[in-house]
Amino acid sequence: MSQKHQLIALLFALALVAAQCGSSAMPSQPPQKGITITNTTARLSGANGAIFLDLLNNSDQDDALIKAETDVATTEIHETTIDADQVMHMQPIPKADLPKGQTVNFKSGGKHIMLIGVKEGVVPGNKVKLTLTFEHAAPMSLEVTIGDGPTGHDGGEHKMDGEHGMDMPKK
Amino acid sequence: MKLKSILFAWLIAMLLLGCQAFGSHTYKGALFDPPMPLSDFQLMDAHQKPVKLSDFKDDLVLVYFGYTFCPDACPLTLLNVRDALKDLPDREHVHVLFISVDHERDTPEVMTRYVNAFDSSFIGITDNISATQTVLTSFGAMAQKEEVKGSAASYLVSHTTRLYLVNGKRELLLTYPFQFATEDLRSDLTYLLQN
Repeated sequence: MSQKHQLIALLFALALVAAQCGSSAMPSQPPQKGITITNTTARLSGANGAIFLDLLNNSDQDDALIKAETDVATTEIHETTIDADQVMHMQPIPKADLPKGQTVNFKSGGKHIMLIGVKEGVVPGNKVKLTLTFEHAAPMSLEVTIGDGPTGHDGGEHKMDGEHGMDMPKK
Repeated sequence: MKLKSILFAWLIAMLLLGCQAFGSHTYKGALFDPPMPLSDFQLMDAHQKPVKLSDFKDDLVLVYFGYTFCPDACPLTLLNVRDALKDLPDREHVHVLFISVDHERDTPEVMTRYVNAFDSSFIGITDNISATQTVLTSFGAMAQKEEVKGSAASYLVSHTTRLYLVNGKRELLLTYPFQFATEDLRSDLTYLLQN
């Protein structure tokens, strides 16, 4: 291959990489080792609420989410199951296993981060600081935007707007 | 001969398509066949006024058993119902009852705020557990309070997540499972309102 061809090939490769970066959901974050958090959504429901997200464990060992904290509510890890009779059971779980190389979805009808007794004044659109503690990985903090949902107090009563929809967890 | 076969197949296909287009509606929800007659009931709504199933004579009634503490199935279902009803012709002939299975926490005030956040026409029902239990049983639904140790929740309530559709003859006609498709409910409602 001539030098000219090599240069063209190099430029082409660079263009491909640039295009890939441009189409990436998180262009500022290259693939990283450890835990990656995506698809974070939250909603209120009366005085409570739930946060849904995806946790990718891209480390060399199995891990687990052992604690979730926010500054607006008592926060627990919960899991709901639907039995054959369509009965929903919900219960707190001490931890959520995160097998290495896998993504664990916290979604409706499965695991969620439960917000109990959300402080007055928290309304859809607010950002809530969420801190996750893992068995092995270092704790991670992120901001979660509260999506539409019925608040549990007068001051924050929010009429849900169908046009804008709700920050829904993916099914 | 070959052309005749093709024409014959085409004719059959058109006939089948025609049947599908003009024939009876295929319900998307799970059908009670025959529909299950329901006894009339009376429960107190969030404004402390009695609500009877017979109040909605000839209209369709969607019934869901849940509680405001629930962050998952309950708000999801009410949002789906709200979306299914949006701009539906003859919408006023569909009524939505959200019947609480947690009367301890779902005070009239809590219930009013909750349902109003979805749709001010939704009717929040919060009555004592024995009255609610009778209605639950008549629908074939269940709710069970469960203590949870080590949780700020103190207790949770396991409950049936089905949405029930009652026809204008006070019969249970259809049910929809957890995470039903909004379009499915809308399709059935549209058909029932026109027929």
